[in-house]
Amino acid sequence: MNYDALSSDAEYMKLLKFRTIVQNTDRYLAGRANGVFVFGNMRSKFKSYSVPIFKRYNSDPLIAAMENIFNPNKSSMLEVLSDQDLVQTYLDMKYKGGTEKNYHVYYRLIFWLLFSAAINDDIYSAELSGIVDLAYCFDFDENILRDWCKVVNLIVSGGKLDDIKNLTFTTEAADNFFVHKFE
Amino acid sequence: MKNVPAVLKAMVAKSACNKIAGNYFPSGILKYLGTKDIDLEKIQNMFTAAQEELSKTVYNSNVYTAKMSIVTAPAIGNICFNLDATTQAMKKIVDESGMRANGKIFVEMVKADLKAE
Repeated sequence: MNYDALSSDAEYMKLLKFRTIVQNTDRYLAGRANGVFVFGNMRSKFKSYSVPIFKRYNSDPLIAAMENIFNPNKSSMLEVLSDQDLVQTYLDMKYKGGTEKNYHVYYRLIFWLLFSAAINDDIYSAELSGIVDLAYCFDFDENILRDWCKVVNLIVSGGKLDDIKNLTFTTEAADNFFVHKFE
Repeated sequence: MKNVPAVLKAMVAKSACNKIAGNYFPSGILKYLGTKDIDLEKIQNMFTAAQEELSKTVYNSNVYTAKMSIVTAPAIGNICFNLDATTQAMKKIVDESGMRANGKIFVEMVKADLKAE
C-alpha cells in the first residue's frame, strides 16, 4: 500500500494501528514456538497461501493493509485450492512426521482467513465455505474450528494477546498453538 | 491425468489413509472444480484418475495401497451426500461464534479510536 496516497494523517494512523495489531498477533502466533519468528523457509509458502483473499477484497483498507503485510502473489481462492503444493505439502508433512513449527504455517493461515472474514462482510459471505473447506483439508474438525474462532473473537473484541491463556480450549491443537504448551 | 487437481488427489489419499470414504470432499472444493451440480459419473472418473495417479506416488505407500480400495465407486454417493453437510456444520460453528458481530465492532472501534486521538 502506498501510504503517501492516504487522504489524511488520521487515515494513516488508523491503518498503522491496525497493522500493529495484525503484526503483533502474528508474531505471537508464530514467534513463540521456539522463541524466534519461525517461518524460516516456510515463510514464502505462507505468504502465497494466505493472501489471495486479501488481494480480491483489497478495496477495504483494512484488508489492503493485511495484503501489504502478507505480500500477496496469487489472485483467487481457486488458486489456493488448486495449488500443487498446498494440501500436498501438508500431507507430506503429516505422513512423514511434521514438527510443531510446520503445523504453525497451516494453523496461522486458517486463523488469518477467519480473521479477514470477521472484519469484512464480503469475505464472510462469499468465502467462508472455501475457508472452512480448506480448514477441513488441514484436519480441522468442529471443535478445533470453535477454538480458533474463540481467539479471533478475542482479538476483534479488543482483547490482549496475554488474555489468550485465559481462554478455555477444548482441543490439544489449540492448546499447543495458542498457549504454546509445547514450549 | 495431469489435470486432476492436487487437492482432489490429496483428499483421496487422505480418505484412504484414514479408512474413511464417506465424509470427505467438501462442497467448496467441488464447486471450485466446476462440479457444483454434482455429477456422479464425472466425480467417479476423477476418483479413478486420482487413484491411478496416486498409485504412482509415494506418501506412505504401504498404508496407502492397502487402503486404496476403500475409495471406490459405491462410496461416491455417500461422499457427495456428505459433502455439503460437513461444510455447513463448520460454517455454523463460525456463524454461532459471534466472530462476525465482534468483527464489525472491531472495525468501528479502530475508526472511533482514531477520532478520539
